[in-house]
Amino acid sequence: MSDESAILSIRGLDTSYGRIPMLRDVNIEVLRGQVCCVLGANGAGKTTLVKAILNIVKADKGSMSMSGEDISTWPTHRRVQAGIALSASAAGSFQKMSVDTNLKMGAYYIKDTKLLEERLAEIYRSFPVLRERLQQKAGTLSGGERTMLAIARAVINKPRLLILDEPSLGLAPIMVEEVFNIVKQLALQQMSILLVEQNAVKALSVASTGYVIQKGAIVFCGSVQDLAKSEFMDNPVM
Amino acid sequence: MEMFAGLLVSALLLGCTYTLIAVGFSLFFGVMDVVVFCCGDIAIFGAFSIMGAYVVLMSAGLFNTLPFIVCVALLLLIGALFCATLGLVAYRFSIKPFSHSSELMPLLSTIALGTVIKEVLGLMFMPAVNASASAFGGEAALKVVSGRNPQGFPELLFPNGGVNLRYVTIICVTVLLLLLLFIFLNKTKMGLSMQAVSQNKELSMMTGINVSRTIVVTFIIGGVMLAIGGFLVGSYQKIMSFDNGAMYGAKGFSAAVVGGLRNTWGAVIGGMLLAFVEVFVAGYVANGAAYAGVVAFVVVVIFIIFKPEGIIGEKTVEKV
Repeated sequence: MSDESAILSIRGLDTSYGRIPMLRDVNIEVLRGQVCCVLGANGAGKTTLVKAILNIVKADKGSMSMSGEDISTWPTHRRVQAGIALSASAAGSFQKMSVDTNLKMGAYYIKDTKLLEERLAEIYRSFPVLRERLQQKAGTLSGGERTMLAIARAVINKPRLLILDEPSLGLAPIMVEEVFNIVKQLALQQMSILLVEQNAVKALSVASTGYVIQKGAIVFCGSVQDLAKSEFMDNPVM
Repeated sequence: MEMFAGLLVSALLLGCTYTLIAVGFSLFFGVMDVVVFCCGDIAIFGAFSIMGAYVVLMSAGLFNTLPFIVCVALLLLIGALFCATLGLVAYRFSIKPFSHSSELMPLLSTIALGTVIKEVLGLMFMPAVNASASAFGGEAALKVVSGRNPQGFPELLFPNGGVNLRYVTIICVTVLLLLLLFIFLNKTKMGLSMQAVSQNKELSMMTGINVSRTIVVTFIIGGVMLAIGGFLVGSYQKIMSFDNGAMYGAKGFSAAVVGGLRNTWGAVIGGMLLAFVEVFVAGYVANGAAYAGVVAFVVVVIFIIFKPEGIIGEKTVEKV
């Protein structure tokens, strides 16, 4: 695969927490305009992977490039500025800030106030739930609303790569449905998405390529059709 | 009634001095989750650097050539510069190296740094303006005293305007400074980043906030607050000692705890509450001056037992 078609390519990534190794030799490619999913159980290393992509967890080894450009040495804020946006509902929100301010913090690098207003208006159109909560403190939102806020906070940047870390985490089935409808819409807009999930059935319904991560190593890599037929799907909720 | 009014003014003034130091504590705690125990010493260091710079400016004759207000501004700038530097030193050498170790480490190392600052002041600060010499216009009688002796703080706030004008200025300066801080925290990108880092450091990183730069800026701004706090302490007390830092540090920290450590406005309320308790106990209880400090700290203990999150500190429980 040429680097040009891949928005993100990770090669030979190793990370560790202290002396305990977490990820071993992880290779992942996210193609432009496609949804790529990484499936894994609790503790498999999904969140570590996501944090390593943003350099919040430091890589011990390996390289990372974005559209062919090597970003391995870039600090977190530079990667975000370059267009990687992470939405992790587990990371919570800025609780004491209003929903509006939370979104503005998400759009940290949009300097143009007019553009910011436009983007906010767009967000409120696609996330009507948030519009009703505009001035409410983020800490008082319900679980579903907070997931919406987390996604909106990342999407407002129109990122080159959107990383969704377990958007279905802790949500009622009806909310999971709603969240994945949004993911589908984003996919239709040709946004490049790396979807990290435990809920395999849902993830496969939107993704085109899939990876399976177990104990910090990638054990499957291929199209979702192959993944759906593989032995990993015997237990669809990993 | 007259006594009451007098006490009210004293309490307000004392509250102003506590408040700015407490704000320093709460700013630092916000971004680092660490109680920086040398805040009081940094503030006193600021006051001493203003005193030192005053002597230098005086002997250079600048007070006779430049307008008085320009000189005062210059002195404040020098004090702010010193404290901001010291704030950065505290962050770089006694907090950051321990960011991955136990929480106790930065606590101990900032106490150690506070002791270093205090002893350096005691050793190094030799030249002083004779406190009895008139500060403005008169002859500045330079003499050398040991740094361990109490030093006279120069009268920089309306030396000819009498004591009331000075008190009004202290209160106005505090209010103005807090107002500026409020605007900075809520209206500027850097201020909002500081709040963001304080509320959720990991999410701040994810949103692309340059967390380490935000922390550095916080320590600079906290240092400036402490410098002006020290300046007000000096202007109010008029006599400064190199070891005042421990007491002001303890009061500032207590004020921040009473108000809610993470909350800047809590620090203001806590500082005022503590000052009011102290002053009114000293004023109304027989022989109260001896117990004023004790009662103030008892209030702190009561808060820690019954309302550990402080007056306006919210309990940090996120709805799941």
